[in-house]
Amino acid sequence: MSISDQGMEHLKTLARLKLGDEETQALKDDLNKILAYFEQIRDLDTEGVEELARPIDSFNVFREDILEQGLTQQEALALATEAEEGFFKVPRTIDTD
Amino acid sequence: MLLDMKFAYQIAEEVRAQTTSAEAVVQTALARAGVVQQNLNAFVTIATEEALKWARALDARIRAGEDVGVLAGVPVVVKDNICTKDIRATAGSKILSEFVPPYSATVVQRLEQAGAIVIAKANLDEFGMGGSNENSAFGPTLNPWDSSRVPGGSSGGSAVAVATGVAPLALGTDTGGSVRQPAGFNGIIGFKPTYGRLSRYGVIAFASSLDQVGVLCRSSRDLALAMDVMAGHDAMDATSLATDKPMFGAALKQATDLRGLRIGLISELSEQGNSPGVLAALKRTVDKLTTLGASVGEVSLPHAPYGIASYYLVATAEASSNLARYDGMIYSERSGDNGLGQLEVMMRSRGEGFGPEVRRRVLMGSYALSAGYYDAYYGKALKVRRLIANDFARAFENFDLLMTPTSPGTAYPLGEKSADPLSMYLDDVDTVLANLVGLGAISVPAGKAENELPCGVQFSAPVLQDERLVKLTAVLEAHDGEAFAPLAPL
Repeated sequence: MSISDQGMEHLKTLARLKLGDEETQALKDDLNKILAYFEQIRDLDTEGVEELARPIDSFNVFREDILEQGLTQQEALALATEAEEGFFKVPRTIDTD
Repeated sequence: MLLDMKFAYQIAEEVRAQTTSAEAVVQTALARAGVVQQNLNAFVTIATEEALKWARALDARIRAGEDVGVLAGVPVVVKDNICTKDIRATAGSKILSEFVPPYSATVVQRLEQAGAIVIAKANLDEFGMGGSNENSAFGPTLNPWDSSRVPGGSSGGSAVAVATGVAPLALGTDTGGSVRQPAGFNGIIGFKPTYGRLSRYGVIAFASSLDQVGVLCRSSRDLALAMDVMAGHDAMDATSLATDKPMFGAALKQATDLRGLRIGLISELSEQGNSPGVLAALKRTVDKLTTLGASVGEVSLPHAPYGIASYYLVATAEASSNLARYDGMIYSERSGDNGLGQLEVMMRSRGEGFGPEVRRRVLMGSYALSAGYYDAYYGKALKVRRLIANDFARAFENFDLLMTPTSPGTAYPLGEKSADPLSMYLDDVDTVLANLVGLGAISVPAGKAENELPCGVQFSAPVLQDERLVKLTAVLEAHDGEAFAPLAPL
């Protein structure tokens, strides 16, 4: 399998990355080279093998719901990219065109 | 004339006995850090004011008769993807270049509660993605043994700080070898504990089923001190093991010889593919282990060669998900005018805020998880991961520890592998396995290999048997002072 030019455009949208034409081409070549290397595991027989997503078995972890002092609104918003009157401020999300 | 940095246990003894002060120790560390920064670019931030303030406060408490802890006055360097309250944490990325965390990671809090003092934030490959420190938005770190070469990565700055004696202890993170490989390239100890032993609260995530905090140092005693202080359950991290009781100091006390210890040399990784110098160092270590009473035999892990493919699929898939939060909206740097609309601003912020390797991995991971490819790539990688775990379980039926080189070669010239990402990935062949399976693993110094550069050997232990690794390191250290702890030239 390899990634086409069209596939690359789809991938850029999925990954939310704006890239120039030159870099898009270079990355497409890189990714296809890396994918070719990954082919080795696709040939491996894994019939009946269970996926291992986490190295150590763990289950839902619960704790008592105890009220504690967290960050104040001011402390949290000090990290904001843009804030106004106690709110995060972001670019418009709905296209009005 | 710069004073040499002592080991952590020595510093703590002297500071507690008031034969020296924390302030004097920190001054020495900061002076060395300045030189190392100028020559090797090992740091993103040197926290001069904060460190001196902490040191003076600590000295005042000691003078007042207070017991300030087993790491009293010990300077530590912390990788810049680990949060430190009020000191910026960039993860080596432009997108976090202004991020000043409002809290410290649990591991940092615990070190500080034991009297340690954070003096600097170490340079790294962006978000921990890389093995050479060339992928930092703050420029590459250089190798202290040969400044035309890479220091390894991604915890390259942490390794350089310890190898040059800026601090006896440094924190790194290890997702696929990022503590062990730079430790090998710098001639020091690099330890990645079992998954879940060190809290990741306050650690900037790369791949959550693989990430672990690790320790870089020059002495097994310092390692045991740091681990006993940091390990143990943390309610703030759901993956922190609930019943963990760190026993590193106790393990050290039993470190006399290696009689009865069965060590398996992984045959798939210990022959072809390694440089002659690395193989010679491996052989020297095997001989030494045998002399000390251990038995060393070969063991086959048939799926070990598939580790790289499995690892890079899992790691990039998880990274593409973890890094989705950096979009220039709520926090992180924003590119482009708000009038362009959210999607465009988001795509610009990420396109400009992430460096080339991070962009490459986010795309790779998005592909591996995307509709139609999930089963063929990500799902398949998880099955191979299971086969690798099964290989380890079988090997540990007959052996107490497993052994490989830490890396197939020594530190390489800057730029040599940056044009070919796959060639850099292949260097992680020895180290990724411990992360896939969640095992504890350590790189210990094994003397010099090609070009008079240091190299390491790696040992891994069954889950939660990390103390065995520290004990083994202590015995090797006691019988091979020369390979251990040489300070790199400044």
